[in-house]
Amino acid sequence: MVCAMADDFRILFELLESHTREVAGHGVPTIPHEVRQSLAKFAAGTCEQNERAELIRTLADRSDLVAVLAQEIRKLRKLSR
Amino acid sequence: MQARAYEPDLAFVRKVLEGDETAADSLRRKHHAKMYAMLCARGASETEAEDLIADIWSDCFRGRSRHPALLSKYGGRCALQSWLVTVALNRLIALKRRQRFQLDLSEPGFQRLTADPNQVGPFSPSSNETAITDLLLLSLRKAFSLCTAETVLMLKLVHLYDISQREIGRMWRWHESKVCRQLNRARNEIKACVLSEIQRTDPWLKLTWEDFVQICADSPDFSDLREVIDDVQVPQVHRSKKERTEELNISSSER
Repeated sequence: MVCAMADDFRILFELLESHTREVAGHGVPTIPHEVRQSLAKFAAGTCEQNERAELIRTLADRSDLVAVLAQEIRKLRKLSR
Repeated sequence: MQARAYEPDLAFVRKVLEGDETAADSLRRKHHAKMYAMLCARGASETEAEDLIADIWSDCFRGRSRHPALLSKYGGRCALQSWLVTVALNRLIALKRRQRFQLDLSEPGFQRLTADPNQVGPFSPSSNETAITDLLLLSLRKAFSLCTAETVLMLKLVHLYDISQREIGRMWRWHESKVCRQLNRARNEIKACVLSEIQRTDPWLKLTWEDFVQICADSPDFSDLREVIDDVQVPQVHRSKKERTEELNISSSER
């Protein structure tokens, strides 16, 4: 049940994300080094609570940065293997 | 790219539009019963379903007044069956909203600023062709807006980027079971909110959660939009020489 629902949510997020991106356009912005460092800290679980809250607010407005956060998490996954 | 996946459907539609009677008969035979069953299951009466499908077939082969044939709008970006079902569902929604408007008009003391029968609820008159997608997006956005930004981020990471609940737990310094509980609660709340929003907007529309997800996945608009997501690249980041070397080492050790 949980698995079926999990797949459902992928479809729903793709619908929402793709629609948002269509409206936002295709630009590929460059993100500052310090933002990326903060995302790396977040991925590693070394952020303070207030730092994390601030980042979550930023990520809510910049869904493209979620992809960068995911990259950082995957990097740690590879390193831990 | 997706148009190629449905090239046989597109070629079939071209034959119908060129006036091939056998292809036109085959189109009706193949899809009529499925569209009828779908419309009745979603809340149309038998008569409404028959009338809507008759109109769709008529518009498919020859357009109304100066409009081109409906089938010429099929771009091969999704299965023909899904496209027809979406067209039928959009028309059913438009019909039911017009009926609701007429009922509103007949109520004593009725006062409405707009005289447009299509403008019921939050939808514009031009939304007839995208009624179902608009409804899906509206209900989804409403449901997600009730979640905290933190929960939405967790859900996104898990479902869009295949990040595990264990990895989420490490980021938040939570136990994996707490992440699991939080996400399951959020999924159930979103599901309930989506269905209640649809019920509130179009009370006659019979949709289960499974129907809702299926329509999202089958929607031609979704297929169009998925082409956009395929093209999107993540933002470029500044990397130091050391970081680039580390990444190269990781990739080469994987190989």
